[in-house]
Amino acid sequence: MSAIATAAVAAVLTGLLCGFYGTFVVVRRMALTGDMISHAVLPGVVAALVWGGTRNPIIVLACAGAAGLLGSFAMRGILAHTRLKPDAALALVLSVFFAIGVALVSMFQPSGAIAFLYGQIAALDGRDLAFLATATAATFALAPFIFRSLTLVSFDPAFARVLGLPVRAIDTAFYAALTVAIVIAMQAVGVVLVTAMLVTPAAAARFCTPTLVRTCAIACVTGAVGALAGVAISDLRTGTPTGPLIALCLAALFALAALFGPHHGRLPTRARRARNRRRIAGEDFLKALWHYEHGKPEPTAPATPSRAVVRQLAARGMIDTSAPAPALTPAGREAAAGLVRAHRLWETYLADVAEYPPDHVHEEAERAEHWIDAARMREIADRIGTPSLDPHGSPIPPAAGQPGKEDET
Amino acid sequence: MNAPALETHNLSVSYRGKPVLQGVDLAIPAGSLTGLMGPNGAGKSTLLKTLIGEIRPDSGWARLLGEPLARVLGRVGYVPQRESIDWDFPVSVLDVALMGTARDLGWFGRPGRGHRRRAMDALEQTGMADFAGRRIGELSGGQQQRAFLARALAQDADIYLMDEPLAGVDAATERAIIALLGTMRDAGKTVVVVHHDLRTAGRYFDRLVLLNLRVVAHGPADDVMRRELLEKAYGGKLTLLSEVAAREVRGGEGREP
Repeated sequence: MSAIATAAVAAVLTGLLCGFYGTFVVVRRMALTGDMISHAVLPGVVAALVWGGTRNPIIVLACAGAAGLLGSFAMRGILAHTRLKPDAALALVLSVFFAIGVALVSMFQPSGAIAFLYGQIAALDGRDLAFLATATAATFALAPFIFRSLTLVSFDPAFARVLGLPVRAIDTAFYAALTVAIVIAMQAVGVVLVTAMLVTPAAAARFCTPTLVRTCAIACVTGAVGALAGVAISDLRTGTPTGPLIALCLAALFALAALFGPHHGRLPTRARRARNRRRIAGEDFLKALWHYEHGKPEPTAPATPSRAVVRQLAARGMIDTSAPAPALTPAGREAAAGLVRAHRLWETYLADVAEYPPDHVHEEAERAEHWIDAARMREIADRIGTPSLDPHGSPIPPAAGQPGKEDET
Repeated sequence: MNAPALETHNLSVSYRGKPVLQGVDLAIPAGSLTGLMGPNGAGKSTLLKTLIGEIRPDSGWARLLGEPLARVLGRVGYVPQRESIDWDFPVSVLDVALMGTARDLGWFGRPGRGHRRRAMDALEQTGMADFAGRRIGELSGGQQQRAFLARALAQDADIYLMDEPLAGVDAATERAIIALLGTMRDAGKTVVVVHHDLRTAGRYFDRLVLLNLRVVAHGPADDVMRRELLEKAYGGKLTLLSEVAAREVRGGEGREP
């Protein structure tokens, strides 16, 4: 395989692997722990390169795992025997282990150490690739079986424990797998940028979907696409380092997700707010027309809202715009009466049940009327005993389909 | 007579050098609905967490259903305190209810139609079926508690330990939850509930435990809801007892007593 093909395959596999474990890193709020592991394994990696002879990925991983284990023991020791909080303990362990790693690198200058420090995806050989492919295949083959238990242990470990799930074993296995993913990702992007591979895809995916399974799937795809894009750009512009480019591509994907993601993305949220504002303006206009028809409070023609709002109301058959002054259609009249009913019911509820002072209720109801649906309205009417007058003495229009006093007179 | 469903003997627990529970002896009969009461910091949550093995006691022992916890896993239901749940976690109400069936699935199994049915039945019973697809973070406080109760129901345990299932709940939901707990008790389950509200405690529970560092009173609700006992539990800690215990714990850890 050519160097670029190797790099491309490695990028995709690393992206998939990190996307999977990164999802759990993000939902378990342990991004800092991931960072700690990537730094803590460095002394082990360097030791393997110095004394392990050939750069065998299994030996590198074993030494890295040993160092990572040492790191988490140190971490646990600090937490158990001092009053330090986890963030300080993480920072302490991370810096000490990284310092040892860097010192070892400059003392022994083993070949291949640079790849772990700064990331050098092109330096991966066939053996690395086979190892990476095995790890990825194993993860995704097991995924359907481990996903549920891992979710339960991540979400509510105390409950998992009383169910009899081996929480400790599952957590240990997760840490071990995460360490493998981190050691692999280090070779692609370097120690410091491992966090980008782990956290960024999952963070982006959270803007796309509310479910964990889909978050995980999208994170895997995002990781693969971002890593591949980084490799491609670095290939086009020789001399640019791959690791930082991968991190930047992932960041760009994150920005896209944060902007356009359907789940709390910035733009969809704004669009939804704008739609609601237009709906409320339209409803306020219907209500104003209704009051105008009923000669209350003062029979002045209501101010016309923006053209878009009027067009929308006309399109929905709520108002008739054939005359110079827009007028309510029967459907519009019914909708407006519903709004007035909601408003006055809510005023009555606030005054009678919630014991609001009477001069506070109008403003509250002015906001609430747009958010009270038919079911909620029935609930309120049941609660306050279906009065016919609101606290200000205005009649409450009857529910749609029911003959009311106003229709009879 | 049957063995008590929950039994502790001389249970002492400390947290960061501070004694939280001291020599707690309890025996809660099977098939009862018990309220665990006490002021803030009295050790109510700590007692539950010790019972489920989250916290290791300094001394003493606890048995559930007549056995050590390790022997009855899966028959013990636990509803955690609201604060210990990450409400941003991407799971739906149905996902939470399905977790109650996890015991039957083993480590690797995947829920089938029967498990879904059980989870939906539980949601039906707690009035949460219409919200099955909702994410837990989007629910009101009362709905969140009911989702976790559904998980407990789906689990079909023999003893339930619930940490403030009535916290952050509106009056109607509170009545619904209490009715549900009564149904569970009538079905022979043992239910132990951490509760805050003294006004309702006498009405809601068959039995009450008044806790403040140690067991101040335990027995049928009417016997426990007596002024002098409540004053004893809520009238401040027994300063001398907790001071000496704190010195013991700190000294034992080799610190300045």
